[in-house]
Parts: sequence; C-alpha cells; structure tokens
Amino acid sequence: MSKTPVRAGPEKLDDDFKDVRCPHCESADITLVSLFGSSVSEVMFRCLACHTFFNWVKWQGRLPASPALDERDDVVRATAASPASRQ
Amino acid sequence: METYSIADLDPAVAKALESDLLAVADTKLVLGNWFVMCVNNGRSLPDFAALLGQSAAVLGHARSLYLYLVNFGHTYQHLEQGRGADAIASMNLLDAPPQSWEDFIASIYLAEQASWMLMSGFLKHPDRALAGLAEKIGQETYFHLKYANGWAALFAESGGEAFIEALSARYPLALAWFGDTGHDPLHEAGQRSVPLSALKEGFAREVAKIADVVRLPLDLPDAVEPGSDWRPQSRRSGPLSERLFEVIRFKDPEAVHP
Repeated sequence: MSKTPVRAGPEKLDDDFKDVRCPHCESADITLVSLFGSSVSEVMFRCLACHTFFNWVKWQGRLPASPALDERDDVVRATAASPASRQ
Repeated sequence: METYSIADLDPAVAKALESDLLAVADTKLVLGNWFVMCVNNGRSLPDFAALLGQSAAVLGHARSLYLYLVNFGHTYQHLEQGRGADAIASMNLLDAPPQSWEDFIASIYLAEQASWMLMSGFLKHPDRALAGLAEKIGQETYFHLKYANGWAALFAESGGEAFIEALSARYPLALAWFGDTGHDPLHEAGQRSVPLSALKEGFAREVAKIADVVRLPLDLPDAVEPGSDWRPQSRRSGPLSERLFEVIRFKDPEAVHP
C-alpha cells in the first residue's frame, strides 16, 4: 500500500471541505494542497482564482455521532449550521 | 446556582463514575502509545503528521482525564506514574499489537469509536468541567475517526478484505468493553445522559457504517464472553501484559518535576 488519503478536489475528499472559500477573494474554486498546514490542526488549500495559498483550521466544533447527541440540540445545530469555514 | 460536588454523590455512583473515566483515560494512554510506536509504519508524510498529531491528542485526553480524576482523591502522580500493570484499566482490544496496517487502522478506529461513545454519555454531565472535557475529546476524535475512514476508503480500492477481517477479529473485544449494560447506575443517578445500552448500540451502528465505506459485507460477531478474570470496574480481563506495560509505563519517575 503506497497511497495516502490525499486526493485532488477538496469536496471529493471530504464533505467538511465543501463550504471552504478563499479568505481573500471568496472563490470556491480551490484545490487541496495538503491535509496538514503549518500545524496538524490546519489544512492547506490553494485558490485557483487568485492563486493564494491559505490554511483552514479543522476545528469546526463537530462531534462524532452518538445517541447522546440526540439530546444535545445545541450541538446538533452547531454542527448542521457550521459557518463557511473561513480562515 | 447549584454546585456540583463528587462528595455529594452516592459512594457507589461515585465509584462507577471514577471507574468509567479511568477506563477511558487508560485506554487513551495505551492508544496514544500505539500511535507513537506505529508512526514509522506510516505510508507518507501526511501519515506521520497524522499519527503524531493523534498521539499528542490522545495522550492529552489521558492527561486531562487523570487531572479530573484527582477530584476522586487520587494524586496525579499516582495515576500517571504510580500504578502497576494490574491497575491499568485499558481496553483488552489494545492488548495485542497490530499485525498489519489494516489491523492497525481497524484497531484505532474501534478504540476511538468505543471510547468516544462512553465519553459522549457525559456531554450533559452536571459538572460543566466534565461535560466540557467530553466535548473537547469528541471534537478531536471527530478527526481521528475521519483518518480511519479515509484509510478504509483506500482499502476498498484494493478489495478491503484484510481490513474487514481485522475489524471483525477485534470487534468482539471492543463490544465486550461496554460490559453488562443491563443496569446502569450512572444513568439512573443522572450522571450519564443516555443508558450505557444505548451507547453500546450506537457503537455497533457506527461500526456497521464502515462497511459502506469498504463496500464489503460486514458480519460482526457478538462480544466475547467475559472470563473469570473479568473486572467489570476496569472494563477488562486480566492485567496488562508485562510487554505492553513496559511500553506504556512511566520510565523515569525520579526525573518528574514536582
């Protein structure tokens, strides 16, 4: 096995990436550069519109599924309505 | 505003809470060492970064839980450095080292998923410190599970049989970790927001979902039957092996900063 979980096209890699926008020009036309930026908590993207490289913090407050979350409306809402994930 | 105090709990409830938190903390301690030991088996630089990141997070979870357990009358030094192999309450699932990359990913997935399920029961705990700790652990576990899911998708491209085989072999030990879920004193006492039985079912449901990722049928076996050496409060059978204890034990107590 020589492959890694890195693929081109952020939305194909992970649903969490589909709302990521370039912080400079707000373009959604971006590509994944690295699953890790300057720290392991960041993902590095490149904007294909303005060619800016930018880091996006993975920390969006999402939680894994659990029966306990059904009773935690605040967390469920925060997960569903996570903002456009700009960094 | 009501204040929460462990001293106000029924002693049996307090002991059950302490035991569950120690079982998660010790599982995280061993899991963190799994990540450390397996870093060099990563398949790429992103793997190395991911494994090191996960080791740091998981060992941080263990440390945070040990710090919380000081509330039960322990000293932090005792919890981290003063216990022998027979006092470590880690999941039996992690006793045997990984036999392959697929086995490694299956094992860390099961350990993270099971320990998250138990911690998620404390998301609404009356002590905001514990509830917040559960939430922070969950936020980091979210990405650890993604890492395993990403690898499962890659295993699918080459058939995925070895991963499913490893998952099926380790799964009964993860399921056994939940123990007897018929009576849950923590839920009855308002310490756990959902019964342990629901968390165990939730765990089984989440594991079954990985079959969708691998696109192979997954026929998960039942939990292993507990042996005579099963310790319900530690959620494990028998002591840690000396070999594994040598990996996780605190090596140099004399060097500890007081």
